[in-house]
Amino acid sequence: MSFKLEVKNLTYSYDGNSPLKRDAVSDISFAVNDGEIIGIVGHTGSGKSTLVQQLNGLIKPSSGEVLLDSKSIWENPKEMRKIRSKVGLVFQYPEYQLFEDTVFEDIAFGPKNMGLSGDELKTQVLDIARLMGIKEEYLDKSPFDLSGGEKRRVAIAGVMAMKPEVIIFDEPVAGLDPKGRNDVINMIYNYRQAYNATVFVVSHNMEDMAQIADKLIVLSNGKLIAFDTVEKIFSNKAILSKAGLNPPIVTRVMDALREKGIKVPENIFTVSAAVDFLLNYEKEGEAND
Amino acid sequence: MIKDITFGQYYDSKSFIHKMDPRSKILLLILVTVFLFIAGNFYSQGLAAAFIIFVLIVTKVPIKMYLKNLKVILPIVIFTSLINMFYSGGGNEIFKFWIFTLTTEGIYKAIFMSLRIMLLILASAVLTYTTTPNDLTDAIESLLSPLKFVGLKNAVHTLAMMMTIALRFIPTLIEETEKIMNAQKARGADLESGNLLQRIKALVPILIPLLISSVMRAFQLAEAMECRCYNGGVGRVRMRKLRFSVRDFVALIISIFFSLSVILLNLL
Repeated sequence: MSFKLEVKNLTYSYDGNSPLKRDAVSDISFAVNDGEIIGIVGHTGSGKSTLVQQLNGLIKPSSGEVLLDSKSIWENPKEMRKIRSKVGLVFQYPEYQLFEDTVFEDIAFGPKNMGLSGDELKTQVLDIARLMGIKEEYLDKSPFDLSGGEKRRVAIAGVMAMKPEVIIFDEPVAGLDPKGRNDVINMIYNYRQAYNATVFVVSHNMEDMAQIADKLIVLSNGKLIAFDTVEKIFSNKAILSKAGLNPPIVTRVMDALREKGIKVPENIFTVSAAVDFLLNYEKEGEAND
Repeated sequence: MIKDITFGQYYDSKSFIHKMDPRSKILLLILVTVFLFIAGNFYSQGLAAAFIIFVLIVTKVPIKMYLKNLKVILPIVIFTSLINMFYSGGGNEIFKFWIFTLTTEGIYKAIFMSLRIMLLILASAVLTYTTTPNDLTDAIESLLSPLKFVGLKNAVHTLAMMMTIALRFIPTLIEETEKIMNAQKARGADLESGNLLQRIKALVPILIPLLISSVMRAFQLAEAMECRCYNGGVGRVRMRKLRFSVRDFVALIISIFFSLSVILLNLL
């Protein structure tokens, strides 16, 4: 079976040959399919950012490979820009990369670099803007006149406009208010839905992860210590504590309830699931009385 | 790549010279520079070379670091020595080719001038290797403070504060540039190929965000400083006061001795 993106024994060391050499990412292997949303979690300095920058060739691994559609992305370094349009990377605080006169032009920057022009370019930009809920009257505005959350959305749309098959978000909701956070999460879902893309989301916020991700990659000190479904990882406290992370607050509340003797299922990680369970539990309780 | 640009070359080897007052280092550098120019024959210049090599050894900074400085100015040294070699005139003619005439005087001058340039660079490298950028700005502020008596009351402090801030934000700016470059590369920006015009155009997506965030940061910094009641130099005191010590006196004696010897040797 062939995977969309496969990482084999990926290692990246800083200061290559000097005595100060240390591995930012060491011996990481995993494989993902189309349409999966993968969360990458880990403590500050665990190698999350270094890992994702290797997935689109911004950093060349010291050893190991990254395979996109079973082909190494470093096979032909001259074609790296093509790879970067297939593996999109949205950096942390992407709003700082906006530079064009209008929102339209800024979203068009990526597709233009791919060689699109004229009507084709226009359709692609308008498609993404519509899908991402960016109103048409915004397209002629200057991106610098927008609010923080709107800027973030435009910047993310700028990467999505290249229609990458794999898209990576580094802390996409950091510093946003709840509405901005929901908007961005919806954008990620919509994009996955529309293009059946593989999505990576880097975060150290477990609440976000519980809501967004299907599977989780847990990093600690540059090593992959777990790669499994969200359910399995959140119910295995040993893994999270080894990585220095806390499970979502809701999970901890559910654990506390379980200790009190209430039969709580193991797979509740989001507030909405917890609310459903508790309402149900109340009804059953009344029925039993 | 961008990170390879060294800025502020401070090398912490805790020597006698490191512990000197930065003001006396600046003043003595000026003194030594003046006498490097006064040194008019090979005897006095030989003394100057010996003196500067002595100072280099005292700093305990690896000689390799100094050589790196010399490498940077190598093209200038070669250029000036070539000019001197062929255009000085005088002395015995060695050979003539088209408009170039090589004379003994020319060779003498070429060696003399390149030695002088190299010694100048080494002397100033001593200052930058042994003094932190912050100490340097403090020293400049202190040395320029007499200007306040001629109506430039706040100007000296403002200038020093600007220098301090500029130095402080160079690493931040470098980091920021790398981040923005990576972000635009991820959007398919092509920074590495094309002709000159295309390359200059390719810088726009990097320079505009950089400029905007720098201006924003400047406003934020100004606000943060005002929140802490910063209102210019008037009435401010320093946490670390610069103080002259016995060391500076010793260095001054040695330097004066050097200067007098240069004058004496010049008479030979």
